[in-house]
Amino acid sequence: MIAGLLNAFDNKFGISSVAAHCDIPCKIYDPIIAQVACLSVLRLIDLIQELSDKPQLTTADFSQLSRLTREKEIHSNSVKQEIRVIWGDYFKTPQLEQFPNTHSLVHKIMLTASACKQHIARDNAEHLLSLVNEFADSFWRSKNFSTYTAICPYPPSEKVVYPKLNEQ
Amino acid sequence: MLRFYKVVGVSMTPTLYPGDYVLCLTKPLFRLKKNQVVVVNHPKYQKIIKRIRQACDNRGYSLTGDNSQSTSSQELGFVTQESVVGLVLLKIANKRKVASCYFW
Repeated sequence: MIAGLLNAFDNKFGISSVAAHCDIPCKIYDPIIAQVACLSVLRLIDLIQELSDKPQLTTADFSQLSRLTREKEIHSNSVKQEIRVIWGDYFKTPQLEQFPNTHSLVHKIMLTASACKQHIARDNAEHLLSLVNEFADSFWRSKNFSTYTAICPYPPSEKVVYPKLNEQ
Repeated sequence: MLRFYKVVGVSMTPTLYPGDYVLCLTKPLFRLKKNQVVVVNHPKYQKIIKRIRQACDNRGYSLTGDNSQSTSSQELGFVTQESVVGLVLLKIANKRKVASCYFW
């Protein structure tokens, strides 16, 4: 009965919540998944451009184009999802105070990833990668790891921010 | 002063389940004891509910959850008396189902 009254009060006015949260599954965060998804978007745009350079498309080409476009959609969505999870679950007040532009950066990532879904311009995907690299840099520095930038050793051979991890 | 809070997350099961309510004495000024359940304004995890694992005179309180899924005491570190927002006096179990863990 008391719980019922509190539920009614909670529904109407809201009762502050306190977290008894578990961190075993939640602590595994790594922006590399979003970065690889960005690279995939770039690679897919390159492959779509290669097809568009052909004077005439065959049925097989149309099939390939359809597949590439679908994959581009999936990987662009993956960037958004991965960034949202780290931003929503990992970034808390101390990290946001350390990197006050995080909200604005994440919003730009959302918009740019959507632009990558809508268009096939390589500029959008390059911009998306630079934003996600900036996010990865903030993430690793918030965990007291410095970062370095290197060209990824596979197509599309673009700059990626990696953490300097300690050897065991 | 007394205040109600609602529990989210599973680290305090089987004592507290997600959706349960707790009645707290806010800002207790007296020294707290081992095994008391408290609401703490944690510098990293913000407002959390945990059990006092150890009360040290000079370092404050070490906290723990009631099951193995909880963030570890080492990770939670020591918290000061000032960061204790409330001492849990009473639990009101809630049959209403809520999401078991908001982070999943």
